[in-house]
Amino acid sequence: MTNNLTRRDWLIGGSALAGTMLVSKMAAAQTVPAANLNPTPENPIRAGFNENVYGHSLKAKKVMVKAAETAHLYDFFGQRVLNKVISEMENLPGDHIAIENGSTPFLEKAAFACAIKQGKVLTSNPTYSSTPGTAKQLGLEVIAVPVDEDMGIDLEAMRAAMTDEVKLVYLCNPNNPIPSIIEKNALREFCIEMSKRALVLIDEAYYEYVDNPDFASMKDLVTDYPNIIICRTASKIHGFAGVRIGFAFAHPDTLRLITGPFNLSLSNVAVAGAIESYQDIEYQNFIKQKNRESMDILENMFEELGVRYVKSNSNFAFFDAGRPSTEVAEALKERGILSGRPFPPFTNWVRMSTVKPEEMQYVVDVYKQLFA
Amino acid sequence: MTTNLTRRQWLAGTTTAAASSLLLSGVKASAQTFMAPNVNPTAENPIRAHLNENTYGQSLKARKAIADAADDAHKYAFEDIFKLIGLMAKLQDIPKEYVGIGAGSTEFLEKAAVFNALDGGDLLLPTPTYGDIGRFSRALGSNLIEVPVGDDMAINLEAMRRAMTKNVKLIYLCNPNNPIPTIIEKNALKEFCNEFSPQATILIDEAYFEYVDNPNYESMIGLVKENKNIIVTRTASKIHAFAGTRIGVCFAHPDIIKRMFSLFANTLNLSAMRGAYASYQDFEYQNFLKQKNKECQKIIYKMLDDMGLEYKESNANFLFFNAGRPSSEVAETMKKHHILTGREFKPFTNWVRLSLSKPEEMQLFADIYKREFG
Repeated sequence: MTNNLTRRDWLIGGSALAGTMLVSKMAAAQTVPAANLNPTPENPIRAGFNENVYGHSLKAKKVMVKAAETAHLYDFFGQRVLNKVISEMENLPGDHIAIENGSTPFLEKAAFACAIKQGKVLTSNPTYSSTPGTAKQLGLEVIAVPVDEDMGIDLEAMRAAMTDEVKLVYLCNPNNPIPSIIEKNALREFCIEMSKRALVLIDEAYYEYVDNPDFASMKDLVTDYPNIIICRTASKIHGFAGVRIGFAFAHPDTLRLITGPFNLSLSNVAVAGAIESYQDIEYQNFIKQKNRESMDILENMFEELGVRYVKSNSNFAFFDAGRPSTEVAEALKERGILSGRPFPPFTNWVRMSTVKPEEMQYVVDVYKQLFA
Repeated sequence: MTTNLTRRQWLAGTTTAAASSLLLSGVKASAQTFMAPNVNPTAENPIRAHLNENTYGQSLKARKAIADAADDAHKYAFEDIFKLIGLMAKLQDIPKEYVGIGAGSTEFLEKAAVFNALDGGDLLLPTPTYGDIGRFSRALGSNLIEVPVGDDMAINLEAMRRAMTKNVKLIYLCNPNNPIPTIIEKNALKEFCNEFSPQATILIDEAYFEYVDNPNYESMIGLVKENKNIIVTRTASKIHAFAGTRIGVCFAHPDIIKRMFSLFANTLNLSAMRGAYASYQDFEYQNFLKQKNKECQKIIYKMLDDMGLEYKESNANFLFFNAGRPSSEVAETMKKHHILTGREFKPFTNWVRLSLSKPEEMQLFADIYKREFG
């Protein structure tokens, strides 16, 4: 089930030709999956996992089909090309970049590296659970510092909680499930200070969606501070959740702690697709614009209903439903809409991923019917 | 570059239509397509006999499943993992709690090395063998105890037994081994596993399992159900041709599986899982490849016998033979003819690892090799 969109539609951000305001000489037809306006439990609107429901860039899709023809062979060359693309885009030396099957392997291995040093993990709560969850599984103590009253990551409280036993500091920026960011200057200072005592991992999974002057990637720190690791993923704006490509930026000695001696684990198809997708800026802009449209639809509803929410820097919203999020999830699920799981201690708050604007409007209509 | 083959041709084991009709009547003869032999190799398109790949490519059924998955690949693949785990459990007759899926077996080897490093243990392993777990353990600072293969070039369990210490918390055995395609005799291996698993985790890497046709061989998967400390790993990189697609399977006690796959295994490629789901059920294709592999073996054995060169009978999709000259010299010479052969494996620097690609390509290798070195 697909829908044809012209490049013009992308640029104006509407799917109806009627609204064309810009004239593009290069109007290339693009195809994206159609909005799901008749969701069922079997074919739900997926607003639960912070995915990119538009799928891959067409350019990526095309090369992935071609790459499937060599998917029976080991391919080390593609990884080098992808490394070079990212190295040039991020202005980082190639030996400071590692590639994996999404960022999960890095997040897990950072916990392993901490465990080998028998250290503790310092992080915020709530946050993305891969690193702290793996650490707990390994029997490590995790110091999880609650977010502040504004629901932002509380660097001051984390600083106060820091001890010499902490060997890994994990920050997700923008955070998840709360789509807040950490102010860039405060974060920079914190990273430099903590990196003298521990590994500092900044998970920038949602980096591409941020449109906030107070945000900055910490990637430029990795060339000067060997204890700082930045993680990125293609799972979000690139639509690679089920394809699996992620990056770590760090000093080569630090990368050795979180990657194997050579990476045999990558899919040729995924690597080829990522090479195209990261260079398809037009597609990324399209997704950002669609995300903004959907977020506006959600935030308008929050304002209208007088619901408390955190301004989003990401592809998901976090709002206070005034009732258990499980109750919301169940009611929506019956109507074919998946929303986020509970995130203690914010059990009355719902994490809602943006979907296509048409789907978002549908979600809002259903939500209002149910709970307004 | 592909060629059309009918089901009959598969079963008859030949690519020429003329020879195919006599042996079996293919009632359900379905056309199949796969990579044509490369009998005019060039520098850009060499014969790949160096990485133990399956150069026939993937089963058509797998390729279709992979192509069909493209529209779902932007989604996290939670359900597909359970589906594939369920299939593996069924095929191996083991409860699904004993099954883990990874992006190739590399992931399991690395994680086993990590857990060993966490436990502060040494790694006991034969040499030469597949290098992944050893390299990763070294990078983590673990101590390695490497036991040379015996005079018969097989993994020497007796010597490994003698080399065992109480500091060893992980034992790695690749069976069939690589780069030497020997197997470990099944009863001796079982005894070894039962003897040492109380004190160390034993990881049996069965990457080449599907190619073995030897009554002395047995997978140790049966031990996994009874024994808490045995890990058996398999990969789709070989007979399933998933080297660049990445699916591996691991069988172990649920406690080990939980430790390895901590929270959620969302490192997996959705189309790879759908492809594997189809490929592992396509027995016809696997049988075809086993047959082609045997044909390749025969061609190279004949060459080696004709030339009087020493070799080990192969239990895998590669051969290991004594060229009587540095393998690097063989590799260089063959590379000029656009045939890639295995890298050097110390201390067997005069031995060549040759991956068995396709019979036609192996014949070309044999012809050129005889010309160059005969």
